[in-house]
Amino acid sequence: MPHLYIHIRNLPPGWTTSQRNTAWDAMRATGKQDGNRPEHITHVRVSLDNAEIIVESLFDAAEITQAAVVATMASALGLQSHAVDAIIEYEVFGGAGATWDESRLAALAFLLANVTHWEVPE
Amino acid sequence: MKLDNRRPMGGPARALLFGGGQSYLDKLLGIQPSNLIGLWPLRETSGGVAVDASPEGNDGAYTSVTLNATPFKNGDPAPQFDGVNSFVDVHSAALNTDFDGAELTMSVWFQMLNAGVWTDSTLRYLMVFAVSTSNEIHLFRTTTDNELKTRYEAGGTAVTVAFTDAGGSIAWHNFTMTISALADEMKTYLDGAQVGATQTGLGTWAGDLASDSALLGARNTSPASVQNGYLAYGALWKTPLTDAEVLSLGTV
Repeated sequence: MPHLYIHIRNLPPGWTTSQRNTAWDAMRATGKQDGNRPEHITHVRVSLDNAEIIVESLFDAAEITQAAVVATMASALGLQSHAVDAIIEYEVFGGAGATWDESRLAALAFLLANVTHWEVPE
Repeated sequence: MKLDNRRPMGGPARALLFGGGQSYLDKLLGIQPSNLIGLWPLRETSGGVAVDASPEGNDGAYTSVTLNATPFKNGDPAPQFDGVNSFVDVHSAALNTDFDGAELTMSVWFQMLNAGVWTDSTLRYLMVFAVSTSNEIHLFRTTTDNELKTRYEAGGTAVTVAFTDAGGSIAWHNFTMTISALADEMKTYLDGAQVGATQTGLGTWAGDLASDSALLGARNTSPASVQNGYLAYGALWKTPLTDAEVLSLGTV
């Protein structure tokens, strides 16, 4: 099972706050949900504007294809997959074959490049 | 080997394993024990509970932390924080009851993952207790290269100390701040020695700790400003320790 960070951005015009929360909750339910190793359990980080989410977990490879992620959110929102696919950007940090540290470094680079979306000033 | 934080090995037993006499954990437990309200060694090797070894038992919870990632100075296992979404949440109603934002010492050991973390222009919060943006206490790395900072804001009045003495280092360092509203003093220490000037003109602390802002390794539970490296032995006293006591806790 790959241990990776994935990133979803809901493009404008996106969902309402309620719809985004529903979509993000659906993503929180993906990946490994319990166990004795905290880093393997699904944890998320949401951007300051709630329009993006990073999910880290020990995933089944099949659940982090773009089609699977779209289907997960579409099901939670009661939408057709194409309606979700049209308004999100999706990536696996480092690529689907990355190691955890390769994925982590890609996530760190992304956060640094988009710091105003993710960090509040000192 | 799984270490039990609640029942620390005494000097003789531990000495057999690690050499020396009194263990570091024993030493911390002996510093102002009646005022020690949190001592999180972070030396678990599995599970989600960051055990509080203090008499108060204010356990924390690990989020996305890799346990047993590197040895601390005394050989205990220490966890890695990934820089993305790791933190240890130590908030509880009981800790909030114990906590006094006007008189305290907070301390943590840190080791950056690599020298580049010191120059990555990213905030890295190591230890945080906050009510709101008007009442908050931070030990953190700033966006300035090689800079660490303490920040104490009470009643909207902030004092800070910034320094670069540890910049670039990938060794373990102890980072401590003492607060006394009674003495009107905020002091900052690195490895047991005071850095910067004693700050005065402290405001008046008010309010209960926010449920998302009593943490090791991040600024809040979102989480923002996540540590990229290792932490060990976070500790909290409801009194300002003396210079000698801080020197003792800053020595392993």
